[in-house]
Amino acid sequence: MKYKWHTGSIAWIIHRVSGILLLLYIFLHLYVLSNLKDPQKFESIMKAMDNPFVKIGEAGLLFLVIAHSLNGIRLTLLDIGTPTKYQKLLFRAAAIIGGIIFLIGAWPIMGGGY
Amino acid sequence: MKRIIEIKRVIEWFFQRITGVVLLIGLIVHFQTMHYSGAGQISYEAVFARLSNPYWIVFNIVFLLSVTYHGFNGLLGIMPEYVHSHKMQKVLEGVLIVVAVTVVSLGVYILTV
Amino acid sequence: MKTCTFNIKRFDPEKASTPRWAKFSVEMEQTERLLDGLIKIKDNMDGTLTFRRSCAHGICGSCAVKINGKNGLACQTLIKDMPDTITLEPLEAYPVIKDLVVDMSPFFEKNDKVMPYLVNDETPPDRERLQSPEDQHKILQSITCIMCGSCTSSCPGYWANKDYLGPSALLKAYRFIFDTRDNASGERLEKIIHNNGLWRCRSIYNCVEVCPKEIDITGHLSKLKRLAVKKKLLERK
Ligand code: HEM
Ligand code: HEM
Ligand code: FES
Repeated sequence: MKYKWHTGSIAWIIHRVSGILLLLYIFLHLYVLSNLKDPQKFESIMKAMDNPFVKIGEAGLLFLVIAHSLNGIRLTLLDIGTPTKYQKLLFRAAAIIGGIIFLIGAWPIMGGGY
Repeated sequence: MKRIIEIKRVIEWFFQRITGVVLLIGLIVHFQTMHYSGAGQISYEAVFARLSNPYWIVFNIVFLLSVTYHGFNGLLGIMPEYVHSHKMQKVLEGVLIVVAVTVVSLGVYILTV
Repeated sequence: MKTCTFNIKRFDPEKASTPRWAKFSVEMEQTERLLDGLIKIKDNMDGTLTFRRSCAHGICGSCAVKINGKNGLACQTLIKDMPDTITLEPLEAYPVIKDLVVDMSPFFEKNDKVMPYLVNDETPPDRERLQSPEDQHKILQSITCIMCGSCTSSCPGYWANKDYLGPSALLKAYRFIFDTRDNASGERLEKIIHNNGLWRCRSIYNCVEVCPKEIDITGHLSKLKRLAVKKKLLERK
């Protein structure tokens, strides 16, 4: 039988996977930015990026950033002395706040107006 | 020697949290600039204007340094959980540090030229 | 009365090289405990079933097993809190000797590494070394550890790296480092801040979920981490 998943282990696996993926994104990000110097190339990349798959990718990136950041705040708060009895509450708060920020944030990325 | 390694471990843990907080602020600013300050922030002109502004240069470099430190320090910290051979750990540690230095150099190069 | 199905992961190295599952249907009272079920099986159904127990009152720490995917003491888990099907397995991450009995020596080796004893060379007073209630309060929880091994066996950090000291040994270190009668706290701190020590704790809280004494293990380790930062970084001359 698999070991039971508690709140903390779910938070941990999300944090680890999102952290590694974000680090991988830095490579992609720098690759795209390395074309900054050439205006033509830059604009053509920007054009190429204007498609739904990239948009979904950017929304996914936003999701990773939010998940990792908010759980990072949770871990830091616990590290500086927040009592253990709040760890699950903090996770739930992070999930709710994160969900709201994600929806608000993903709207303009996906092309919606304000 | 043992003492220095122990202090290094404390620093790694401590700075992971410090850079985390720096990144939190950095990412908010970054996303605010890129996506939520109206259209055209990622055009060649806008990016170029930012890159000639000393405040943005400092911001970008601090941001770049903390992302790289945090990301690679995080990876170094979890590596021994997946790689058990001591020799392999040392090798990978070296490789990761070289890659991290490359990332920072590339990032600074992109920003400043 | 209710009929419980005990689904037990059994292993006998003399008979087979892999574990097998065995099912037992046992009539249980709601007021009985899991351990009573194991004893009924051993007495009436299959005398070869092997498990550890001693006190049967949650104080010796021998009967820790994995119950429905979560570590706990068999003698402290009530049948009324259990579903009808109960899955029992030996504690994870320790080598299995037979059925539910595991080899705890890796666990005790880690414990030995943190100097698990009071160090104080001053001549003792006529009676015990006294402590103020406030000082006692700092270590009150950590003293109640019965060393059942549930926490370390529940820790993903320990599963991934058997050299990790684990929550139990680190809690033991806490128990002496924060003991005001102890004089070797600095030395002991150095024994836990290496790469297989304190920093392997990722605040996953599995240990807190399972601790039969409800000790706030992760909270204690987090206090140790802050102490290490304070002593090794901030207060250095
Ligand atoms: C936005 C603010 C961020 C905060 C507050 C934050 C916080 C943290 C914290 C506290 C840890 C330590 C976890 C532990 O030791 O258990 C951590 C780990 C990590 N972070 Fe971040 N982080 C942030 C952003 C990032 C970014 C942008 C990246 C990618 C470059 C990243 C990559 C990682 C990695 C790879 C780990 C190691 C994963 C692990 O320990 O399981 N983080 N983060
Ligand atoms: C889809 C979202 C993002 C967009 C559109 C974007 C866009 C950009 C742009 C245009 C720059 C150039 C600097 C400037 O114009 O001021 C830049 C720099 C940078 N971005 Fe992003 N970014 C995004 C997400 C991220 C994320 C999630 C991270 C961190 C994990 C990140 C880390 C950085 C860093 C470190 C730099 C500095 C690069 C260097 O030093 O060369 N970005 N970004
Ligand atoms: S038998 Fe002693 S703790 Fe369960």
